[in-house]
Parts: sequence; structure tokens; C-alpha cells
Amino acid sequence: MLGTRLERWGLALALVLAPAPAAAQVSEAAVKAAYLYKMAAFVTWPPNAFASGSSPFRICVLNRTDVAGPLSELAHGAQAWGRPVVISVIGGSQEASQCQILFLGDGHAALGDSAPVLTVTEHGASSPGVVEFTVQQSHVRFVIHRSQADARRLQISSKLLAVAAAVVP
Amino acid sequence: MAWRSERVSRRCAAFVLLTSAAAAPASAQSLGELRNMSIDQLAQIEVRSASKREEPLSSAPAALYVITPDDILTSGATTLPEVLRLAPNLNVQQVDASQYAISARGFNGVQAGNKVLALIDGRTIYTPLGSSVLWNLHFPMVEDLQQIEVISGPGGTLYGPNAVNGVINITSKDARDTIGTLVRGTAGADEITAAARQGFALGKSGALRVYADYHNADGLPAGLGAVDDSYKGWQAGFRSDFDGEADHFTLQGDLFHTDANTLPGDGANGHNVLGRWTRTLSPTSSFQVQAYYDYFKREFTDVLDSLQTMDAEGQFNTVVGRHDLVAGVGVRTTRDHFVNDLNIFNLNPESRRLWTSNIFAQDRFHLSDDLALIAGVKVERSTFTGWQVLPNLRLAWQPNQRNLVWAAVSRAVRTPSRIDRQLEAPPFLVASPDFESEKLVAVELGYRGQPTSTTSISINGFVNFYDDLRTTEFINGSFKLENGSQGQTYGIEAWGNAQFAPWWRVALGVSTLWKDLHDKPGHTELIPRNSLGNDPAWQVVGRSDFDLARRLHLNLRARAVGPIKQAPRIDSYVEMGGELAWDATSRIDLFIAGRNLLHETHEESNDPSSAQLAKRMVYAGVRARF
Repeated sequence: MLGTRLERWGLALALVLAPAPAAAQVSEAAVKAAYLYKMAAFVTWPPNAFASGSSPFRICVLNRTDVAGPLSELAHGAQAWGRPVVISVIGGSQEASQCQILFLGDGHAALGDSAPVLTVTEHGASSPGVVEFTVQQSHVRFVIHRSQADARRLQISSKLLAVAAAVVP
Repeated sequence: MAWRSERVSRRCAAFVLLTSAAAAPASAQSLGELRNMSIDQLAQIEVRSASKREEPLSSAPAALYVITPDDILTSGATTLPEVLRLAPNLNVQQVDASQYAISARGFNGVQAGNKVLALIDGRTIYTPLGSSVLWNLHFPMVEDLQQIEVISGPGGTLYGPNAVNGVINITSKDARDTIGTLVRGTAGADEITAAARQGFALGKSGALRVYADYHNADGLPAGLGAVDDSYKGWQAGFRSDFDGEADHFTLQGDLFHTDANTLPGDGANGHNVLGRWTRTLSPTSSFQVQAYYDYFKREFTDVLDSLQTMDAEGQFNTVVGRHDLVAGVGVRTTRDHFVNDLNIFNLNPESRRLWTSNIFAQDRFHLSDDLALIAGVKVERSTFTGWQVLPNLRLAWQPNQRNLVWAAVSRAVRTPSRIDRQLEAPPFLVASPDFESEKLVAVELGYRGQPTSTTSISINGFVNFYDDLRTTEFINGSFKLENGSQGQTYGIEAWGNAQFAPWWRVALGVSTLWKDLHDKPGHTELIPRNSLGNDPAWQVVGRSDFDLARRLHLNLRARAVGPIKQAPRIDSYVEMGGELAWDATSRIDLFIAGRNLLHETHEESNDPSSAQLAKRMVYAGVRARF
């Protein structure tokens, strides 16, 4: 009896699936997560950014579960700069300085201006980070604030600078 | 913004021209594809933006525990109730192979468990028959769940009726986040499951998924009740999501069929369909309307029970100055049919249409940057009651993003169910047409914080003042249900998690419950088991997740549950489960999972007529994504 039901279900499935799928839009949050995950390869951190040789590569997200969810899936089992990637959801803390990449959304964290952390903010945040997301005609782009990167002793690769929607000196 | 200079704009334009020449895929359909894209391809993806900015969970002033998709996938669980064991603020009692009693802050049991509201994608799944949840009628595909919010305590203004002791709010993923194929199969000596989902894009801004989930489980060893509880069944369904200019549409539905073997012909079937429309009016205001139809019929041991539900609700959100305002309205009607040929207990009338309606409003008033006052009121009316006023007042102090202290006072009621009012078995039991709502005033205090970047904790305390609780009494030669009990319950719930090392994460949760319930003057409770709950005074839930190697994960789950002293007594127990998972490739995961591993069998529910013994189970599974 189950067999016939499955057959019927299969047939129904085939009928429904017949039209060629067009492109669906992915969520803004998922693309931002992908950027956060990808950026690690294009930035060089000073040696003191890591507590020890065995410290993980930490990508932190402040209070944004919509971005942290897809980010955890993307980074599942990944490595960056020879270190395992760890995703932490944090709430604005001193320990923000333990992160290598910190997505602040439009929130704040207690973080010194010279801490070697790649800060990432949303467009319109009161104090933009090294990287500032911006959505232009339904595309997620980003702006790089060079002075901030310099203050944090982060070397941004020319490739990342080229992909940026804009680079602010 | 400084960068909006002409120079920058020109640079932008040049960049767009440059990259549009490169052949980059204009769309991504899954996270897997995003992972494989280069960073400049990401800039080419057209995205949809969130229609409504959700309140960060860290600022919700309630005893809230969230089960994430990752928690679900690493638990090895294939059914909803086993997933719910992850919440330290829920007491989960397995009754038989498919039925569970689940409650927060006490009053658990097959008969007594009637104070929790459970919803799947906005559709209420408690039945007005006895205000309980029949968990064996719901087999959503756990891989497609977005999150489960578990609130212990009254749900406040925004949740529907019956949110007295807790709310279990289950939401599935947006169809646009489940594009692609997912197949799962598990097999063990006692249980086989098979599930498949296919999601695909529809047009430029929409997607549809269809799924089917099959379960086939042997019965559990006989406990207090000795019946054949083996079952097999399937659930199938769809969900579609579409975006318009400022609109979001969701249409979804499910169909299920279960065969049980207690008596020949036993089983259940049902279907539901739900539509939801959200329109964003401005960055700070939106409205949402939703309607659904739900039907199920179940036959068990010569009892026939069916229920048809229609529900419509609307909600409007806006921000005025320092006030976040929400207002809404809802109406629901149910028609049931209950015929009992097993024994003399029946509903009079056998079939009845009931109505419930409510209007509500809530203001979150930001008194200062770190202090918010939330005042809400809901006015609710049901066929069995007049208008009832359910206010709640919450204060949230968030001195910084890391710490939240909150306090709340709320009133909640459980409106009379069909059983409360109209169950009779003359001359043994007479109906109780005057049965009133059970009432609760809850006082809560909570703290949620992140002491360090790798740890988080939550501590909640509550005192619940109950009145007019149901009692079974003997009056003029017959049993009768009365509102004869009152009293307080107290408890503390605390949970936290910590990442001790990049490869090692642990979580621990504790909940305690003290009950001080007593008969009101002139009343005598004769069957406390049926109303006052079958609750352990404490439970501890822990987990420890190890990344043993890059692709090998060991996820352990343990629980210790105190004794249920309400007769028939259940001893305290400690149990463990979990899974060993190997991500064989980026598309295929293999796992061996188990539950109740420490003992061959143990007692979990004390229901005298249906409780079976929970049993050790081991199964192997595969999950593949394409």
C-alpha cells in the first residue's frame, strides 16, 4: 500500500518539478555571511592578533542570528590561515578583541581603535568599521575604510580592494 | 558618508562595467553554491532583503531558549519531541512509541498537560478537546526547521490562547532557503525513517519546496499500560514563499496519515493549509494577515476524535517616537466530533462548534537607551467564557549588549476545554457546565548575559499564583470536574554554554520546581494526577560536542530527571544519547545515533493507561544534499 502511495507521490512530484527552475534570490543575510567567510583569505593579521599558535580563527557576530546561522553552516569544518574557523555569537564585550573578524551589524562593541580585528558594519552604522556593507540595487557590496585598516595593522589585499564598491582613504 | 564622493561613484561605475564583462553566475540557490563562489561573484548576486527587522533574541524579556537548526542536526533526533529534549526549560516524557507529554513549569502528563501553547509556522496545534498537544500527529521534516523558540512562562500579549505555562513556537525555513535536494534515511532495530525534500526556485523572487517524511517504529516494551503502540506513517507537504515590491507571501500545507496497531483500523490522518501575507509599509511599520484551515481525524481503541479548525488573524507593527507598537486581532472556530465506544465517557453533545476571539495591543516604550517598559493587554473571549482580560507588564534593563535584566508580571488563563465542560459518564461522572477558566498570575525575574565571548548564561526565577485549577471531586454521588484547587509554584531555570576549545563546546541546563497546591475550602481533589501534574522537582540537561577531527564529530546529550512522586511513582533516572557523525563529503553525512543508551528500558511517564517503557535505541543514518 505504501508502494502505491509513494508512486503516486513520485508522480505528483515529477509533475510539479517539470517547469525549469528560474533563479531565486538568496537572502541578504546569507550573502553577508558568505562575505564574512571569504574575506579571511584577503586580509593579513599581525602576529599578535592570535593569543597563541593554536588559537582558532574566530569570526564573531554581534546579536545577528540571521547572519550567524548561515555563517556557521558555511564555515563548518573550514580553515583560515592554517587555523580552524570558529564562529562566535557575542554581545558587545571586551572579548571582542579575541575575534579576527567581527560583524557588528549596527551595534557597538567595546573595542580599542588599534585592536587587530577586521570590524564589519552595516551601511549607516554610527561608526563604520574597516568594512562597511552597502546594498546597491539588490546587490550586497562593501566599502573599505583604509585608515581604519591601517590603525588596526591589517593588510588588505589588492584583490579585496578591487572588489570593493569603494575605498575610502 | 565620506565615501560618497564623485570620485568614488566613478570608481564604482568603472568597477561595475569591468565585472559585468566577466561571466559570473547571477544567482545562487544554496549556501553550498555561495561557499564555492569567489568573492567577486558574491557582488553579482541579487539578494532579497529581510521584510521585517526582527527583535534580537538577546533583548527579548522572557525566559526564552532557542533551538537552532544546528542543534537539531547534531542531536540525531528525527522527531519533534526528541528535538524538544534539547530545551532545558521543557520536561519531556515519552509515553509510548509516538506520544509524548511535554510541559514547562509543571502540570505535565497525558491528562494534566494542558497549559502549553504549541505552534508550527503560526498554526496552533493544541486541541480544544483537552487543551493538550497530540505530538503524534506532527512529523515535520526536522532538517527544514528554522528554529524552535521555547518560552517558559506566560507568552504575554503576542501569542494566542493557552500560553499559560509556556510556548513552543516552531518555525520552518523560508522556501528560498531550502533550494536543492535533501535526502535522509535512518535505520535501527526498532525504527526506520526516510525523508526527502526538493526545493526549487519559482520565478525571480520565489521558491517552493515539497517534502515527504516516513516513520515506522516498533512498539515499546509494556509499562503501566500494555498496548501495542507500534505505528507507521507519513507526512508530506509543501511551502512556498514569494516577495513582491513590499510584500511577502507564504503558502504552505501538510498532509499526513498514520497507521497504529492498538486495534485494527486505528490511526490518524489530516491536512492543513496556511496562507500569510506581510506588507512592509515603511522601514518601521508593517502588517501581516494570516489564515489557515486544519483538519485531523484519529481513531484509537474504539474512540473516534476529529477536529476541524479555521483561524484568521492580523497584526500591525509600527514605531512612534520611543514607542514600538503592536496591535492585532484573531478569531478561530473549531468543530469537533468525539465518539467513545470503548467506555462510558463521552462528550455531550458529541459534536460542537467553538469560537475563540481576541484583540491585543502592546507598547514597548524605550524609557532611556538601556531601559524599556513593555506593557501589553489581550482581551480574549471563548464560547465557554465571557471576555477575559490578560495584561502583562515587563521591564527590560540592558546596560550593554552583554547583559539583560528583566522582570515581568503577567496574567494568563486556560479557557475550559470540551472535556472540562462536557465530558460525562452518568451516573459515574456528571458534566460541569459551570467550569471556569483556570487562572494564573506569574511573577518572573530573569538575567541573560555573556560573561565572555565564549560563554553565555541565562537564569530565570518565577512564582506562579494559580487559582481555579481543575479538580475531580465527588459530589452528590457522582464525580464532577470543579475549579477546586489553588496555590503557588516556584522555580529556577538556568542554562549556559561555553566553548572550552575550538573543538569542544558544552552546555548545561537546570530547572527546578516546587509546588504548593491545595484544595480550596469546600473542595476535595480525588485524582490529583489528572489535573495537578506529574512533575519531577528537578532536571538537568547537558550536552558536549566534540570535533574529533576535521570531518568527525561526536555530539553527546545527557539528562538527569528527578522522581515523579505523584502515584504511580516514577524513579529518577539518568540517560544519554547523541551521535557520531562523519561528513564523508561536502554533500553526504553519515551518522550513528542513539537515545536512552544507559539502560535497556526506563520508566518516564506515569500515565496508568498508556505509559510504555522508554527504550535504548541505536540507529544508523545518512543525510545527503544535492
